[in-house]
Amino acid sequence: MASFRDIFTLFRESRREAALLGAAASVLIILTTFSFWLSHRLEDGSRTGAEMNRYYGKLGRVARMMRTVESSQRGYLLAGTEQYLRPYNELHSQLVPRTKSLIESAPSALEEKERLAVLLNLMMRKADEMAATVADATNERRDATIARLKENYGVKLSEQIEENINALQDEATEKREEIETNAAELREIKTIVDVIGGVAVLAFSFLSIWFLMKSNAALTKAHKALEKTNNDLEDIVRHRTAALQRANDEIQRFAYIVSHDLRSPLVNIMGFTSELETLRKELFERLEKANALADADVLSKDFDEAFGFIKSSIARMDRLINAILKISRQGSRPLHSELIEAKALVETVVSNVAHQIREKDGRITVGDLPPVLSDRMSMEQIFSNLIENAIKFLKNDGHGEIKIEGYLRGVDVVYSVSDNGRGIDPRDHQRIFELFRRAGPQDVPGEGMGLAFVSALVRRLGGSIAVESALGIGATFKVTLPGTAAQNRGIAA
Amino acid sequence: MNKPVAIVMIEDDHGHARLIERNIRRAGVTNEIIHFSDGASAFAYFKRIESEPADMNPILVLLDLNLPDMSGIDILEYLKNDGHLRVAPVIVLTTTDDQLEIRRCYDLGCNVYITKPVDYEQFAVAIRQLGLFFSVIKVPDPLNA
Repeated sequence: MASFRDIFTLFRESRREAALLGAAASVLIILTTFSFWLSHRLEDGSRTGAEMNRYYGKLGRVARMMRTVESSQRGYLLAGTEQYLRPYNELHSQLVPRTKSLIESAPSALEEKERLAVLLNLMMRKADEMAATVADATNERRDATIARLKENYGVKLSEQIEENINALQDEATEKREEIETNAAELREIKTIVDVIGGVAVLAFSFLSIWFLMKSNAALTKAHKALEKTNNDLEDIVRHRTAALQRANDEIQRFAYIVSHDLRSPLVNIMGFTSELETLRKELFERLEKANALADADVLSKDFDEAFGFIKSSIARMDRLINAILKISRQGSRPLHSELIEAKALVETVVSNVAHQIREKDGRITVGDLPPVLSDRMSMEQIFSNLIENAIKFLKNDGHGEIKIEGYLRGVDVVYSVSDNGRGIDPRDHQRIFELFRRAGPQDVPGEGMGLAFVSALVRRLGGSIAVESALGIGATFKVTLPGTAAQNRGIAA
Repeated sequence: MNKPVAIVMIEDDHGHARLIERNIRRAGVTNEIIHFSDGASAFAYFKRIESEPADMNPILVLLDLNLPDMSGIDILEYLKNDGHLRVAPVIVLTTTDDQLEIRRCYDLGCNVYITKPVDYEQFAVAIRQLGLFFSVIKVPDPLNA
């Protein structure tokens, strides 16, 4: 009982452990996913940061370009030499497209889209203003140019452009810094998550190892409990077997003693009956001499009848006692296991009963019999009893036939002795194996012990015997003996 | 010096004892038959032989194995281990026909082992032959042994 409870507990605990390990796995998955997401966010952040940096540079380059074009314009206006106009010619046409490209490539994180539109507007006006002044200077209208300069229109535009670009650059820097702060925070969280993850992995590993050790210990315990139960069971079996053996021995001793003690009085009865017979002879002789008896013949016959019954009864009783003795002795005889060539053994038995077969004018055939590991003397007695029985109950019509066959059935060896004799009523199939019990008309001499003897022998060899028969058709006796491996155990026991 | 041999019969069944005696007589043996129906009285007799051997006749023992107070085997063992009585022939006459028992008796030094057959004819023949055996056997006097 204890072991079953252990196994149940083990089962329940293993379920709890499985649940715990499942939870641990989910926690690890969540932590890993979170960490992955954080990495992704960090990457996004750094990409945005880089974009901001690039944009910052781009803004600066546009501002510088505008200043370069402006200083080239001024140089030309002051000196009037074409040489100063070269940067202007190179870059003036790019000012507006560059500013437009600023709008197009503005990072999504930058919120100042309106300022960019204002910047474009200012840049277009500045470009127009510079183009107008350069055109006036080229066409020798210096007065108009000076007048325009005095209006400070161009300077104001430049200042406004720079203001806007600075504002945008500040914005980009601010954004970048914001992202960096954010990233630092994220990195911190990620570190914490990673540490927690690592600790969790370690903890779960220890937990698993602990579970494994615990379940292993429980398994060992259950195994030991099972082993103990097994041993207990073997002990019980050993005790029962010993008890059975004792009971069996007792019965055999009892049969032995009873048969001996019964024999003693029988010797007396028989002895003194014979003595009486002798006396009677003398008595009758004397009576005859004295002529005292008229009908001596009748008296003599009565005496003979009485003596006859007494003697035949004693003889019968003696045979019965001998039968009991024989069986009890068989039970105590040690068995010797050896490999028996059953065909040769049966042929010897058959040759011993050859004259009985001839008397009945019958035939006997021995088929191929598988060898068996068993006790030789027991086997001889089994076959000789079965064959003699078969001969006894053959019909006297000259068609009597006995067949001895054998085959393997699984691990068992089966031998059969079949005849076409008078057969046995199915009602008697059980009885015929009992001691002193016979079946059918009692016209064949016998004590009714042959089959009881055979059945005791077969049982002792660890086998079984069965009969298949119907009246008038014949009978088949089947002896099943354990095959080699199983038989070794049977004989050793 | 040549005292007649006494037949010591140890047999608990009086019927058997009577039948044995009759058949011995029928065989023409006239020696004295001393009957004991249990082991203890037989032992007492053997002790007396040992203490005053000169007064006693040499003996031949007819022994039944199934006695009420002890096993005949014990008596056989005692006789065959005794300095004087060892020479007395012992005939085991019993109902037991177990081969082991017979072997054991011969191992202990019994001279003849006879199974009492239920068939009276056989029984009578066996005893009479025993009588013939008595008439020819030379039983040594324990004193001269």
